[in-house]
Amino acid sequence: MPIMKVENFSFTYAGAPKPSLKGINLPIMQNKITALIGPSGCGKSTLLRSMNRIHDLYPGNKYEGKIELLDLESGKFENILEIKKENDFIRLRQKVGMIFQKPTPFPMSIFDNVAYGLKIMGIKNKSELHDRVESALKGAALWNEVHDRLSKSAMGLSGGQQQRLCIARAVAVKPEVLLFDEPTSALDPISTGAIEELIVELKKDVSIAIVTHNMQQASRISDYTAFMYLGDLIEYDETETIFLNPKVQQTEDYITGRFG
Amino acid sequence: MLPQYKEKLDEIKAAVSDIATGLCKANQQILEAMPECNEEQFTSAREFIRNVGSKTTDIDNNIVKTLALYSPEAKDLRLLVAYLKITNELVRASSNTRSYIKGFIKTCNQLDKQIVNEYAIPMQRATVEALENMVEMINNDDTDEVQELYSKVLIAESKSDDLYDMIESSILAKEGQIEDFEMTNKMLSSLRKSEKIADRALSIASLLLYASIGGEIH
Repeated sequence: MPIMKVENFSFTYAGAPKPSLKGINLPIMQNKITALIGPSGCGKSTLLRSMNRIHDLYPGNKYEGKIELLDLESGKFENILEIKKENDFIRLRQKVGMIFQKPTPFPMSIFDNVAYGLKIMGIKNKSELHDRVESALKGAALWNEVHDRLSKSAMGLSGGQQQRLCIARAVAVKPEVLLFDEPTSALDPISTGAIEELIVELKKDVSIAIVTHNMQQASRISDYTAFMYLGDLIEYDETETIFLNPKVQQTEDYITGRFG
Repeated sequence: MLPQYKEKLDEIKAAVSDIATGLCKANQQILEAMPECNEEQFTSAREFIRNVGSKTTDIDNNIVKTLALYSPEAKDLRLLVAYLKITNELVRASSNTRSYIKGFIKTCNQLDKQIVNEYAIPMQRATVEALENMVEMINNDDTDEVQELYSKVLIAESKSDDLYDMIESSILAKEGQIEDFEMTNKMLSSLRKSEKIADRALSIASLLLYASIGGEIH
């Protein structure tokens, strides 16, 4: 069952003469991992960033079509492209969190990094805050490494730990969807392995979309894969089908390294 | 290691082990049936190697999926490539076992008891020994123990080979006394299957050794 539905979606950057995404239709399935793959400039990050309206931090972009998000309480879909109020954007980004390519810890303590979103949500009670921070750090497989230095600066953590801290920060506000934009491209293989295991573990609780240039990563961890090229969605299917029996020649050529 | 990758590897190993164990049990039962030429026991031995073809097809498809999705390397890659070839050997060994059962049921009452007791039973015992050690290799991850088990398979297969040669020589020595040449030919052809099964066990053991210690596939 989809938790997000991208329907006939087009996106044009401010001042650009033509759209970067054209008529995209794509479901993001609940409690599954969907990988977006394709050569640089194909629009996969643009699509991912549209899913929590992060483009709106800059004005003048043009959206067409729909991106619907399932409201788990009411069971109804809401078109996130209709959001206009600042509070609704905050609510959307709590429901749809994002992890970027480079770890982006705030220049504050490990504890405060994770508690940041919770405080914005209005949680003031210290014991509740502590419990939620602990639970998020455990969920991000970081608790054992940092539990004795929660008050120390997050900037002192390694790259892989910083990325897991960012995941803990996103997980703390209990999102419905997590968007990962090349989350391991700046990490070494050991940290990459740890993040991949974490992402697979997280899908029990959240639905995940991930942009990756690493096709092995897409095949290893995702349940569904979408191949994009020049702003079009070329093929979307179960990952096994995409990597074993792709239906479109362009997909086959890309995953076998014949172009891109 | 991703849990779903580990699950796939375990699943494939368990499926290969399951078929190999069935093959071994079928041959153990044949060995038990041989002294009294127990047709019922021979026939029921077939149960252990039922649907091997479709089971190995499932394993092969699972291996291809695992290769495509998880890009295994080093020992994992060697193991999956070895399994892909092992499934073929298991199909052929099962087919040899079925032919052995069929041929033996037809000829065993006319076999010279001395040949059965002195050569055919020891040969089948050696074949079973080769199979038992091969199954143990599948379920063993210790490189030293795998090499030791390989040596045991090699010895058992060699025993099986020698005993078949002895059967042939012993029959040829009675050349003038053979009344039914066609029946003798059938009997020899049936007994040869046991030696073939031991050959397959050795091929499988060689592939498992390659998976365990590396080098090149032979």
